[in-house]
Amino acid sequence: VPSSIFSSKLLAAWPSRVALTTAAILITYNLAVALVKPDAVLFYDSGLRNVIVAEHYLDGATPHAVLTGSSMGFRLAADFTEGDYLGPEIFNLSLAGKTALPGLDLILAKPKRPRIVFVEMNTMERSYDGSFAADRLREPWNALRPYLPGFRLENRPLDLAIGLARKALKSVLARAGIAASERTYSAPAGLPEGPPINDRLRAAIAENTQVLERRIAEFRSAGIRVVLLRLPTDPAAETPATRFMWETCYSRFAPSRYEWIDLRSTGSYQTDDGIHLNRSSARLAASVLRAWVEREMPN
Amino acid sequence: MNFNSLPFVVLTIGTLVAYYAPIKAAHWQIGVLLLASLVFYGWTQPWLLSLLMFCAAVTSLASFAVAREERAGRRRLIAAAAIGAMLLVLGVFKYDRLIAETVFGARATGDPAHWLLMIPLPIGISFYTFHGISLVADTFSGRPELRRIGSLREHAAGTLLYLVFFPQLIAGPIMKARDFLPQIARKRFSDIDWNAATRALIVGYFLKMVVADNLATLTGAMIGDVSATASITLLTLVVAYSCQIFADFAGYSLIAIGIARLFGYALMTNFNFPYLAQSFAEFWHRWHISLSTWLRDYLYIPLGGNRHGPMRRSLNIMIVMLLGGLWHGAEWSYAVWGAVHGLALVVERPFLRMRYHLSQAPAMRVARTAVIFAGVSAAWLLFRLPNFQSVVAYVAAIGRNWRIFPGVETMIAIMVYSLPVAIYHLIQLAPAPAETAEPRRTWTYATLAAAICLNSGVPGAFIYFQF
Repeated sequence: VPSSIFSSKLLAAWPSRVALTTAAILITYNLAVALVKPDAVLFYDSGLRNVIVAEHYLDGATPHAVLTGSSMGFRLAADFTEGDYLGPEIFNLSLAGKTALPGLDLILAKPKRPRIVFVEMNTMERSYDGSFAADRLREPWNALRPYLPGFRLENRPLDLAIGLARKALKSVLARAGIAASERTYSAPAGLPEGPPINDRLRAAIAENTQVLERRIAEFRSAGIRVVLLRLPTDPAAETPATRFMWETCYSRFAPSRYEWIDLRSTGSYQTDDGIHLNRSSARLAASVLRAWVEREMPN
Repeated sequence: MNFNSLPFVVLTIGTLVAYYAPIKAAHWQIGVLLLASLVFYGWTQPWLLSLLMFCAAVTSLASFAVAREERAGRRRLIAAAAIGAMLLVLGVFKYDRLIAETVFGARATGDPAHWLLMIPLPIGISFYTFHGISLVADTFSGRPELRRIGSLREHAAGTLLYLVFFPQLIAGPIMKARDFLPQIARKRFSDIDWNAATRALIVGYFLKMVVADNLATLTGAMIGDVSATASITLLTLVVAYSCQIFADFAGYSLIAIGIARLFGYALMTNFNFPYLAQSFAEFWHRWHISLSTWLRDYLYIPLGGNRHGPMRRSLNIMIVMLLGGLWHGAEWSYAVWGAVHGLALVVERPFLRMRYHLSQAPAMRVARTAVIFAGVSAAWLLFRLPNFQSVVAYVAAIGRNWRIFPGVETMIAIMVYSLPVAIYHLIQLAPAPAETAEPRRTWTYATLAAAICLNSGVPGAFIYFQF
């Protein structure tokens, strides 16, 4: 008689014990994370960091104001775990390597909305990544995620261990007076002009401005105030592409019809690579936004 | 279809149920496995099946004819023609780009070059063509395991299964025909070695999904502009890539071995703790064992092996390692990688009998292992980086950027995700656990399984799929 899957014992004893022990570990870990609520969030990779930030926004309480943007906007909270320059009233939903648009998609997808949305406009020449928000909102995981905190990316056990080790090491280094020095960009002589404007760039800007117009209309109809934001960059790092992008943005979203904050007019800023604000300038930029929120939206 | 994808899990479970269903048809199990393997292979690009079927037809017909033919000259002719056909397939489909760029220049313009560049690379071609060559060569050499060849239909079914058996189809281990074909028989569910399969699957998926996929996120920083990256970070990334490529490929091999066990087949061990090697020769006895033994049996020994003096032996080693390097990819950097290993094998040979190498003092053993690991890791740069210029720029940045402060977070992450590879190797040096250690073993494997659920990285294709 041939042995078959229907007539034999499905699993031998040892693999069954492994499976049960695994289940016990998973349940215990989820309970422990739910109780302890660890905050050693890790940012060693921008792709993972984007997912962590998005999950944090979707699963957490909704603040008064949200900033959406790119890695440039992310600098306003230089370290998500050790000090958020923007403070508790402004959530930094900036996603490295992307435009502000996926952040707007996430804000729209969450039932509870903020009162103000800052939209960092510095990377409107990049392609719109519509799949980012869709991936984060995929069911059933989107519904289950708040109840299974152990499975969230920010709570991966090895990453928590790395985060804790990093905190410990940083405090040891700080006590020893060792810290990464603040960098200030100075443009090298004879910097090339940058690549010329091409059709792909024009198409990306056209698509982004269309999507942004639609999103702003949706926010406005829901009573949400949208503020377009220009972060300072080093003039030497400007290219024909960025100049064309700003011209297009200012003509599509004229300051007479749209609210803008141009941070270049609020102080003297330094970058560490021509584009990203260095730590002290990021702190200054964040303080401007914080003051703006306190002034315009007093509790 | 990736081993870590949902369609693959569904396919495997469905195939298992059908495979062990109580159906008495003589070739039911072979049919189920063949169907599953063809679905697996043709899942995203069904047209690739045509080339696979062509190779299967050529090798089964040729090996059948070689087995039946009694005239030595004709046997040789048929075997040579079949092996030539396999090499031609490999040459046209895998090395088209290399040929186009080498023959027609870097830009590869013009009709023949354009035609060559349009040919796609079928996944797993390096593996199934090598299987085909193994079958024809083993039959030709009259291996006792392959003497009992039945009807053409039976032989063709067996050959097809040998070539397409889905756990090993696209990244090995490269089984030799004489080891695989005798295993084809009716399998019983009660004969499954669940313990061995569970162990292989858990460790395999852990190495791939927790170690390799997470390290892949970190080693992405090796590509692109590294001119402002700290030397320490760059060096750590080289070690990380060593760990990643091991975890990726050894993980894949273990998953293949575990799944094959569920179907009653024993695939050969492909990795034997390679980073414990104390010489390059030992490294190649421990790394990708199925490829190195294949090259030894079907290339090195036919070339003359060790039999014609040290000069000829050195030449044979260089030829084998050069071609072995090119087998990994159609880029000259792979050939250089092979040549570097070949040169290391030739150069180290006289030293293997010296006191330095014969000493069993722990410090000497650790030193030898460290030297070989450093050499192997440095050579992986040729694997990881897209071209020679990138390798030169990377090495120059290591030499230049000692004053740049390394990113603490990245360094810790690399160390944490590389640690399992170190533990995996070091545990081999510990004494074997007693039978009474079973609860500890259960907890160890359960922890690894939980880590797969909780700490997997961004899923990525297996590195060796591209070969």
